[in-house]
Amino acid sequence: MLTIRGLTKRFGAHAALKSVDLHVEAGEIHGLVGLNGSGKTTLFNILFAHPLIASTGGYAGEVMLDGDTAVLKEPTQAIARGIGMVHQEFALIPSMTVSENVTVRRERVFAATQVFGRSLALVDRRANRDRAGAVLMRLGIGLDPSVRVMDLTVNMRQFVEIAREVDRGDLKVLLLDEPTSALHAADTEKLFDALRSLAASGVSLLFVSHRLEEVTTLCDSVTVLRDGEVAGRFQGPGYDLVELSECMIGHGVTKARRNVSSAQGPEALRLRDFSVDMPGERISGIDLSVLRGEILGLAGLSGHGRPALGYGIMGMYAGSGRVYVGGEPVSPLSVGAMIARRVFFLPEERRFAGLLPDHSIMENIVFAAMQCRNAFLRAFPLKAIALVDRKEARRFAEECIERFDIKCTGVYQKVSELSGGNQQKVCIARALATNPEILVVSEPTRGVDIQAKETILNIFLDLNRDSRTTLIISSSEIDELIRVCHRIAVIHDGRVFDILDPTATETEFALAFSGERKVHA
Amino acid sequence: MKTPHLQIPQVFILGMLAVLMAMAFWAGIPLSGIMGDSLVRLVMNGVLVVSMIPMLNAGLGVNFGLPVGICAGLLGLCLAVNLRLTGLSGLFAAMAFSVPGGVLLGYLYGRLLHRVRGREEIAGTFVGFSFISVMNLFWAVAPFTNPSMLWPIGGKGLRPVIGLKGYFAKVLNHAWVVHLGDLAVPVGMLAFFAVLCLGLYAFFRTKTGAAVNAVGENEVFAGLSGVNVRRIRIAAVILSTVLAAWGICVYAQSYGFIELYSAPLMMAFPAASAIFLGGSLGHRTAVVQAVIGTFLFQTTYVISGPIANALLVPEVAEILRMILTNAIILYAMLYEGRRRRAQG
Repeated sequence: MLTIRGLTKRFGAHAALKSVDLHVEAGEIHGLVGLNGSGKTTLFNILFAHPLIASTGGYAGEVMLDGDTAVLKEPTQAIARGIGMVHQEFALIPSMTVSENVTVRRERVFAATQVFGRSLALVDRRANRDRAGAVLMRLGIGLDPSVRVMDLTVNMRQFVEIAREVDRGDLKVLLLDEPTSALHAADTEKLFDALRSLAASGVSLLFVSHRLEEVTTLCDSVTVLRDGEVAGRFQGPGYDLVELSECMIGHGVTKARRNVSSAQGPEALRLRDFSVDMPGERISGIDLSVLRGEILGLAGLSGHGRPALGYGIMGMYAGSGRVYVGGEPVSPLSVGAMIARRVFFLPEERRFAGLLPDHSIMENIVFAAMQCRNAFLRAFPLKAIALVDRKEARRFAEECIERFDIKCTGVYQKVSELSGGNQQKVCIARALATNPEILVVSEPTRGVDIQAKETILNIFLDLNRDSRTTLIISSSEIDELIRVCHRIAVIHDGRVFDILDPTATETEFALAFSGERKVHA
Repeated sequence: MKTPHLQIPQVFILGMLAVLMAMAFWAGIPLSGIMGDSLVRLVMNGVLVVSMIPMLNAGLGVNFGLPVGICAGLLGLCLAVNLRLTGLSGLFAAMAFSVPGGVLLGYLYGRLLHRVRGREEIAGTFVGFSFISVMNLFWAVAPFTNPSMLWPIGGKGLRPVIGLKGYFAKVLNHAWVVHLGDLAVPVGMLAFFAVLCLGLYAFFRTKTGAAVNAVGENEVFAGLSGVNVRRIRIAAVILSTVLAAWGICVYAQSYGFIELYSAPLMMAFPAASAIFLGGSLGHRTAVVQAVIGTFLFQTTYVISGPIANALLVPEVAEILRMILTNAIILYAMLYEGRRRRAQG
């Protein structure tokens, strides 16, 4: 039995969890759903005592196991209290066998060899093999425990990971972070059976998944997190999938919306049978057409392939299908070819992919334009070694700082010293330096304060209106998409599930998010 | 923009320099001679040190494979001697001859380093070591004809040490020396080094130079901005290799000898310490940092020799230098590890 009371966690000024209450009975399978950044991962990190939590100042509130408060500062404390975790990325040792992985740190040893203590005793391999085999059978998996983990398929590894936790005997609470993201449908069923029998033996299960249909099939009850708060609870059999996703997305408190002028002109970008093999975010067989001067939103839960579109168009991951820019096919796909056709992509990981944190604002802003369009260079026959025209670069950077209201000490300030919102503005400025006709932006407002958020959205609207720039905005904030987009494509399971009008109802969005066709028409 | 602040290696070496200076003064060794020598040694080693900057800034780490570039330079030197070229033109001819070899070797070395991404430093160390053995074979069979380069007996294969007297020994050292009292300033040599450094500084203000810096800091960013990351990394390695080849040319003329076979084996380490000493710790390295590092490092080198002789403990200075050289590299690695962890 797991009880959480008033759990609050702050990262600096940002509250990732705000007074969350949660109760999971023994033998209950409890689902935990929410959009990106809603606090699921933070909650799991607290429960498994991830060192990150202690190093960022710990948490407030109470975690109680079977009625008494648990102190969770190190993972060993969580393990001692019977909390187990199945990681999304596998925490297995590939060069060891299945039985060694399952019984690690709990190996059976020959009693007679314990002269120098248990850790130096001889391991009874046969006993461990038998035990691992028995545990796997309990999970419904007939797997030879003497096989090395590196020789297993991804599916099987997931079961080994679960077996390792089940083998513990003292397991009371099992945390599952998207355990099905790597599984096929048949194996998912198998896994669910295993989890049900595990719950029947009295273990509490906390299950996170972005596949809502799975949550509804498996879980006895569900808690919905939104912006670090409990947004809703669903009990007992027969709760509604659509209500669930509505609750997750939140009520569209729609602020000043754009003047929806319907789009317009010729086709700017077209994808035909477009697939991208991005690990964890695959998309396959996408057909999509974006008109010139249009703002297209991309929505969808994580793991369904939303980020793959931008990376795929720029040729950063292998894929197949055709991409047409202004009616012309582009092949092969590469960043250079795309920027030459005035397509620019701003990725969502600002700090890791979108900026050079140790470089100045000016250097960041002019970089792509300089590399791909030979802008901001002094006249020189050989462009590769032409000097940077710092005067011109400075002038442009100062113009951007003024235009976008970037709060900084000057063009030479390092980007790492800016706040998230201002960093994002630098990103947009550097995209505009390349003079793009099509701009693909991922999560432009993540980690940005409200005021900067408004500025950024207004920049997009101005761009669209004044220079007829075509925008593709991928965001997990459905509210924002509704405010600025002409159309919103919802990606589900690697495909464009539906293209909705921003005036569509919440229910329609919720349906599309959960991959459900309208049933009660 | 950059706030200069002293780090442990600089504090340590400045302290050591102060102690050595005091001892030199006490032992009655003239400081002007030491200063003149250290200016010469600054340029003698400085080119090898600044040659590391392109690779460092492109994110390939310290070029412990410096012997690759050195061998290209040795080849250029040997060609110049074989053609009996003399004077400054002989030295510049040697530098020119070493360029094709440097470009080719740099390209191959760069391709190899691209395959072992993330482990460039250790791979470079072993590339350097093993390449020296390959070159040992080459030196032994290369068809050079100038008898002053060949083994005196048998007349085949190059000598381990080829004297440059009569060719271009110390031509750069002695080019335009200005005497200020007791102090002999090698103006020509310093001017040569200044031009080279300015050229490198200007390179980092070009389109390609900016791309090198960007690749070193964030490859995904560079890639998404349309930079061919692989090409830029290889270009940086080629540039470093050619500069290293020039570095050994300058070094050899200053030393007065071409040292072949296993001589370049350890040459990467003092250069690496010098660059760390200048304050390059995982960030972009400015040319001026490398110059300051070399000057500090070489000054301790110059000053400790006569002091050790004067005080009759000849081994101590060498031991201290070895500790210093390697401790600075170790410190830099510790610091880099801590910085990476802090960044998560």
